[in-house]
Amino acid sequence: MLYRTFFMVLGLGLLALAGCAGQGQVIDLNVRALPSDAEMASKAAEAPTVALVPFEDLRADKSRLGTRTHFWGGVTHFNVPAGKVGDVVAQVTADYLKQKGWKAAVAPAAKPADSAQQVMLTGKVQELSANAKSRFMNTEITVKSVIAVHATNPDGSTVRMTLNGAGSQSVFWFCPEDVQDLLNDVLKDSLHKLLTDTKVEGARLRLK
Amino acid sequence: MTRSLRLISVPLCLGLVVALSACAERRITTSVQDQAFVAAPMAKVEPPPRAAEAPAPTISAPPPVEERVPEPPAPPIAKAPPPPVEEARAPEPPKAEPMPAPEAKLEQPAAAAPSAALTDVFFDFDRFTLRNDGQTALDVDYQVIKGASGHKLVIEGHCDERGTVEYNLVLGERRAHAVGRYLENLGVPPSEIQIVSYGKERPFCTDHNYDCWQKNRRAHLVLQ
Repeated sequence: MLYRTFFMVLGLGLLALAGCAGQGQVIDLNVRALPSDAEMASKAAEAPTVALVPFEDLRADKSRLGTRTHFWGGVTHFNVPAGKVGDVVAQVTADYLKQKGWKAAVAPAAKPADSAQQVMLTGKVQELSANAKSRFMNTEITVKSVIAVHATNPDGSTVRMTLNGAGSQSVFWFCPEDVQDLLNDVLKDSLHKLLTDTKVEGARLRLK
Repeated sequence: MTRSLRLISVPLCLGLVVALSACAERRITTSVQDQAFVAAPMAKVEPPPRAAEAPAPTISAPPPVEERVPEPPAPPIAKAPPPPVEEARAPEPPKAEPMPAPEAKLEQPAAAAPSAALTDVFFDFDRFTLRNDGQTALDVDYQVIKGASGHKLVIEGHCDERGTVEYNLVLGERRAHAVGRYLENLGVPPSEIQIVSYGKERPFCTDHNYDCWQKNRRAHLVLQ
């Protein structure tokens, strides 16, 4: 009796550790990258006005962000709500800049650029992926982002850079929030890098 | 029996602890590449010819970058009858070169009356340098702008559909700036000029051919 109970518990435990088979469902990730409290403390003294145009999505596979392959077979897909990665990344960037004290907003591509007053920030999402591979008692999550940003100042000068971010995490109990958190942290670090490598001079963006 | 169970349980628990300890492993790396700062572009705008001087098209004509210079557009597009202002402009001193783009007015019927008399300026592919026909058009436009004091001039930069959104937004802005600088040199106060770029987002012509692309590479002038 004791043996039977032990092996039943052990079996259920192993099943739980390995996870169930994937059914191919799509999980929407809430992508957001807000600066940490420590970063918030260092708000920009000069706050330029930035108009962001929805970023261009140059990923080879635009249908999803990534996939989790399950231990028992099958997959689960990750995506952003509405599937428009370019829009989401532009919005995430705008929210991050706003939290840093900038006046930033995403404008429709057709909206006039009042170039006399604001920096126009455009970008290309060359890669943004979030994948997970479940093994026995372990799930390896990997996230990668490559975003090329291009800022056009009111005087016509431009600043451009490509932000590369990568993250990996090994979790015991997998839940989609792990992927979401890692993705958000990678984006946050990339945007932090954008700000640490630039400076604001008279409402214009310059490289440090 | 209980002893053997204990022997199994202890390594199992230890295994769980080791596995759980793996949760802390998390690595994030960030790097930047292709950093560049490009100083403010200077559009190569030829100084506007003085009123007394006759323009010398053979000297300053920019080489055609590609395909074709816009032919006089086909009249059958006529979505709206030519506005009466057009007739008022007819008796002006004749210019050597024909106005290249009357269709701009046809496709913007909602524009204010003074704007209808303004002629658009066309550009070569991937260029924001004013061509001779563009300068001629702006000389005429200047007369209209001068006569419409109290209005603000909005210069919209437009591009064809080739290239990325952001590239065309910048190119459109440079085209609009090139026109703005030319008009400033003619005497339009900078405070009365507003620059706007639509890139390739608001095409005047939606076909996918060279003629259509040429029509979309323009600076559109609106008096508000």
